Amino acid sequence: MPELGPVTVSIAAGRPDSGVIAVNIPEFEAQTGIEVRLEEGPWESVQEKISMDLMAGVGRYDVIWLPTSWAVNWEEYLVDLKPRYDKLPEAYKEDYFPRTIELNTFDGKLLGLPFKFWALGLFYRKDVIEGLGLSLPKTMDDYAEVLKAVTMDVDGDGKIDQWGTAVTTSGFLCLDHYLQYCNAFFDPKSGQPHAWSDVEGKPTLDADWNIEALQWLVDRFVVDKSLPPQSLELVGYDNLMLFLSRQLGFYPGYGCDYIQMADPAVSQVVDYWDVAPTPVGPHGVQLGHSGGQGLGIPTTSKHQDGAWLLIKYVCGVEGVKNEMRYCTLECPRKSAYEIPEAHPKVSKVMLTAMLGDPETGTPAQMPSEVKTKAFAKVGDFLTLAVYEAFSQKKTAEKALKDAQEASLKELEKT
Amino acid sequence: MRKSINLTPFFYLLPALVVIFGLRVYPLIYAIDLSFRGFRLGSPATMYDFVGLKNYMAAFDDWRLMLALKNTIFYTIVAVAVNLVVGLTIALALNRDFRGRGILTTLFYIPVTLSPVVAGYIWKFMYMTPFGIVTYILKSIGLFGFLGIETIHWLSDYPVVLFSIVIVEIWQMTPYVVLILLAALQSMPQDPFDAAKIDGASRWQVFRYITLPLLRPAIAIVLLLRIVGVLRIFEQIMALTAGGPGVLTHSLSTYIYRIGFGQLEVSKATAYGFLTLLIDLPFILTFTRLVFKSTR
Repeated sequence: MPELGPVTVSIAAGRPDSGVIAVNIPEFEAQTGIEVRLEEGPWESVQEKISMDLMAGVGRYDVIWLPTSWAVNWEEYLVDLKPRYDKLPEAYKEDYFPRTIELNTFDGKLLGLPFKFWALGLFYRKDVIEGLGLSLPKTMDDYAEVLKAVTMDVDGDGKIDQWGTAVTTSGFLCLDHYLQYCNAFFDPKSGQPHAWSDVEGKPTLDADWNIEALQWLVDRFVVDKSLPPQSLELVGYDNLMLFLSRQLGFYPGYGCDYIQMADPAVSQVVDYWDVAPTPVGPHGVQLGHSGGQGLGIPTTSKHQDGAWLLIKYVCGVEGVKNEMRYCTLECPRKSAYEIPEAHPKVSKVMLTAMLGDPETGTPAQMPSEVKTKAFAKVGDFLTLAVYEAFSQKKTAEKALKDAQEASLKELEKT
Repeated sequence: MRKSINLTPFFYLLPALVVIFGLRVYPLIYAIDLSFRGFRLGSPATMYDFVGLKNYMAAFDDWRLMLALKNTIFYTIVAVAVNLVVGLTIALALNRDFRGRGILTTLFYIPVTLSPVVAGYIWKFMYMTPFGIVTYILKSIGLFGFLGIETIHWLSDYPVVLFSIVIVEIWQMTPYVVLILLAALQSMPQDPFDAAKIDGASRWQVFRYITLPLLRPAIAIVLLLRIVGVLRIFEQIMALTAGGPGVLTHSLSTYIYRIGFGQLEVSKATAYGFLTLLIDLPFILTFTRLVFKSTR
């Protein structure tokens, strides 16, 4: 019998994702006798560690946390789990939303067993919206209007202290946030696979819908002033912090953000938030993108059988129910939503965004995240374009055209 | 008579040599080799692509690297100059006998004990527009009104943001300079000062002709340590701006990190790293020489 452990798991971020694995470890260890070592940290640091490990072929990690948008970059270092997955009992497989399996599949290879998925919901301050008698925005035009309406001086000192919403404009989250808006303006009839690249995978940063999206954001910042004045300073999850400290009316966020909103230790909106579907753009596409995370096995792992047992357990029915009990995430399994701890509204909004509404038969209106290696290369040009447009150094169109030209040059060099 | 070679000392040296080779020499050789390849992390096959000097040449065509170099030089010159001038002034003040000197010295040293990331986040909240304390104080004293401006975005107005970053470095590392210079001041021989007093030298003359020359070795060490330290500035930038707005505040270290782990261009990042070493090297060699000289 091959040696099964100890199994070392590397996972980005602290709560809630690492916690989900942590809650499952004691029972897994008791059942199998395999020791599990959990390493956790912020995404950049975990990504760096995993990258170094894969590159050097050390094999420190047996299981890695795999965001579906990033997995394509590690594709060649990961075990194809499909042969193992195919041998699983039908009940185990049927309990998955098929979409989550698709998200973890690249070039026909199953790189990770679905661990969670994400989609964007529009979190909002219900006290503010109800207090002002506003309706929830259905379109991007409505959204612009309500953002303007909630921007106000709440404490009466003559200074604005509450804004419509915020976007991160620096660091890697800048791309994530800007891309969410680009999707809202994307025209699916264009024949392009998504907002960012053409059918050959080349970036199309200066596509009409991207220019429209950036212009929409700049108008909110410059004309309506419904984005906070420090918008260009926001890095990481600063905008979530602004929502939690009651400075924003709306926050387009993921299901796991609910954990912080409901935590009185960090949130001033514990009793004042609610969630709704994100607004829809001019071509019927919803603001945001959906994606997911899987748990994968690097080819360098020395305990692949033990790693598979762990993944199977954590992503299995009981493991995922534990996940729901622990933090009510968007879970990839149907049965997980049966437990009483599931947050019905957050779950419904996220599930509908990603899978469509089974009651009305409406298909999903939120696109998936981009899976392209070129994306990593164009990031700098995009953050620069966002800065140039927000600071009015260039028009949105000029900034994106320059970014497109620079990106193509960079890609040619590579 | 034939002399036999005693191998015992070499035997004792062996563990250290193995460690040095394993942890220093081999990785260095590996990195040099890597810098001549086209290795991209997502494509293991590229590990075997020999590209010659392409990665090194790419550096001269990369405006973001050039900007990062300019920023790094700016951070270094401003931070080191202010560190030294302010550090020396405070060290001279703390070198006098007064009540509470010990407590004050300890308080001064607190910023050094913080992790640079923590320092970065503390300052980020202090800078944040419009609620940060920096903006609040400057507004309260009427500076913005005097200058006829509404506010300053400390972390997004370029080039103000470069100063915002360098201030954090100065705030955190000046006490370190103070401590070294204070130690040097306190270990100075008393005789030259007594002789100068008898000869009727003024305070300025004592400082100019006795204190400063005696401090020179300590100042040299401080200068070199700080130059090498600021050339590698990383954590504060990541915490304050992550290289933004856009890519305008990257230092060499943060930009190379971005190339390596953001764009996954490992070979290119390694080549850029070696080029950066050329900037550090003169300072490191001078420092090493100084240290060896003083040891002898």
